[in-house]
Amino acid sequence: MNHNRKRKIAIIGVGLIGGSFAAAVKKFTQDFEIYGVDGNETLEKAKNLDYIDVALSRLEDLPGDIEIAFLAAPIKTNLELLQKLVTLKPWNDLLITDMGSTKASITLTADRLADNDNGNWSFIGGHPMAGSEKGGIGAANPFLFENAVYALTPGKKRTPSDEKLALLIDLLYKVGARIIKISPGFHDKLVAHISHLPYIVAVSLINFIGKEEKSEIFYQLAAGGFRDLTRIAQSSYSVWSSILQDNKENILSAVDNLTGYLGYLKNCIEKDQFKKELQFAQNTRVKIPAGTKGFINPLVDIRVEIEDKPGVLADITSTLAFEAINIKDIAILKIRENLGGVLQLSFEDQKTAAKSERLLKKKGYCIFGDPIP
Amino acid sequence: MVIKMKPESTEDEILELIAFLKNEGIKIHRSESGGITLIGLTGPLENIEISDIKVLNGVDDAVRITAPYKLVSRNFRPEDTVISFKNGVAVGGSEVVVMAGPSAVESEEQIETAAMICKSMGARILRGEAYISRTSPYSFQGLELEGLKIMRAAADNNNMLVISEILDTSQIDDFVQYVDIILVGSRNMQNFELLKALGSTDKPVMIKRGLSATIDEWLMAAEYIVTGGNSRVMLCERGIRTFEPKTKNTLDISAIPVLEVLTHLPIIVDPSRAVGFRDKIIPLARAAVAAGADGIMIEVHPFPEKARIYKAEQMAPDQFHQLMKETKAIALAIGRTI
Repeated sequence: MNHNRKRKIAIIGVGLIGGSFAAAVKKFTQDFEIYGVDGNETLEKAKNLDYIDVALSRLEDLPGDIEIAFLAAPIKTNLELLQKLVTLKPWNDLLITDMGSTKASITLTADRLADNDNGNWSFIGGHPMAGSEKGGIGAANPFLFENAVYALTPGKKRTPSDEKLALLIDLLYKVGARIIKISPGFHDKLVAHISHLPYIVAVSLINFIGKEEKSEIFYQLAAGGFRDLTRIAQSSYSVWSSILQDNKENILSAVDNLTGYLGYLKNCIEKDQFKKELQFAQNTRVKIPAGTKGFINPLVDIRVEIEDKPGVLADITSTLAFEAINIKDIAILKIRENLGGVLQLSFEDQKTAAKSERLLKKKGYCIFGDPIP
Repeated sequence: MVIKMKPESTEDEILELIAFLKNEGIKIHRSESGGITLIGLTGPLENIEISDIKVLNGVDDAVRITAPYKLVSRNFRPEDTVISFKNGVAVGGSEVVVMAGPSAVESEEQIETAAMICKSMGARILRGEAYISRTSPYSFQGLELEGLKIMRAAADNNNMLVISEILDTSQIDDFVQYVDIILVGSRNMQNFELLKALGSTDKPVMIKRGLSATIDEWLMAAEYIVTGGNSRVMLCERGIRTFEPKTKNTLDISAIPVLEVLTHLPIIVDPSRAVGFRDKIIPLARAAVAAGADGIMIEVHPFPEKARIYKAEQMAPDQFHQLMKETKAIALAIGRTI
């Protein structure tokens, strides 16, 4: 391989997702030259952070030998960008892929464009299952894609060449993503249930309580569970309005199904027969990480009581590091001055979590509960 | 014994010779090599004298094959066996064929994703076990028939072939229907009933070398299939038991040039199963191609750390991509392609 010649990729829309992707590509490989396309203010930030090599405020200025173009704008903008991009230049085997959270509309658009255009481009839909409540390049980080499921949804018409697809897949793995290939329609139905429905439920819970007469006191008493459950209601409207519009049918049907099921649950409570449903829920939740059709691969958490004093975190992490245990995620749940708090450590699987628990107990730490998947 | 006919020998002369030999209770295996007819003989050859055969009309030469295996020996058939498939793949030709995929078929999404990844990076044959032979009866046993079906669909969607391991004669009908190459695993290399049954099918078969099998024992296993009438057999070196505990098995690279002389059958190497650790697979794959293997079989999983079996030996797709780049360069250096 010629190491001197960098391969050119374009990231169109350098916000949270596009910016994080650029940062990750920069961090994990030296093989690419990154062209960022966005507004001047965003580009300046991206350039200062050294996430991109070339800043372009106009799509037209992209060179003709770009190999992969990532569309990382909101869904509706991506659709417009795709249409504009295909006829913009005589491309040289350009692979266009988007990073939006719905897949049917853009894949269908690409198929339709393929019918009316002979350009040397191909398309595959993409959706990194990663994000943050905060948007924009300021929230970007190179580890956003680490262990994130990345859905690839090929269309029917202009599918990428083997060589180009291999280049994309290789790059996605280099930034830490894990690919799953599914059809665009199935993808949208799936995210309507596992991502969009929870958002609606979070909004409904918050608003429902918020519209009560004495909402203030309700909120003051609302504990961690309520906050956890409603966290995603914070995400930005610009992202969600686009999703709700684009995936309307699937979301409506998911809401209908849930409404119907809530009615059934109500009935169970009336008849004092809720136990059966609760048991089903508990059994199902345990099954998620072990399931063969695991779409997202959850981590297993343990919770450790920690004192508020210097060196506690270092002691815990080095104890695990000494046994070559990889901590996948770490969070301080609650801490009070001088009284300490609770540290949540997440591991790849039950076995690693159990081993870590044993090691920390041996060192005298107090662990709460069993490992929680 | 192999009888080589003269280039100018007539069909009548050949048929006359065959009739004579059949009368003696000898089994005939006729083949062509470079325009010359070869007649392989197996069965009661004690009463046949080489000198008597050599003087018959149309006969050029006759040699006794002293090795215990006959039909798979290079003497019997000087030319390499090339096994061709409908999608244009040929095993045993100048292309080094790459078989890749997960250890086990785990779900439709997993095998579809693996097929897309492996195909894009240059693999022509999709591997994956639907029936798994595990040391423990409590370990994951595979998706069985459903696994074969979803693997077939994934391969078809990506213009690939399917190779999967058979465990028992009762599975033969399903394997004939859903796979392109039937894999006989190491543990079954000397399951002679299975070998005989596979000999009467017309599906290509790949036989893995038994954990402690010698090259002769391995070739005898292949002989069982070929003598049953199925000549489309390939061999797979996957490491043997030695005293070294640092690797799962010891990959016997020297078996490749040794087999090259002894047999005309294609030789595939499985470095993944041999070494058992993904970081050691690339150098062994390079060595296999350099030593003259006709193909390599590599385990690749879209989520290696979440794999249901053999986590440590399944490569992530970017590692597999690197393997393909490096082995391609080596193939080119010895006048082959990948």
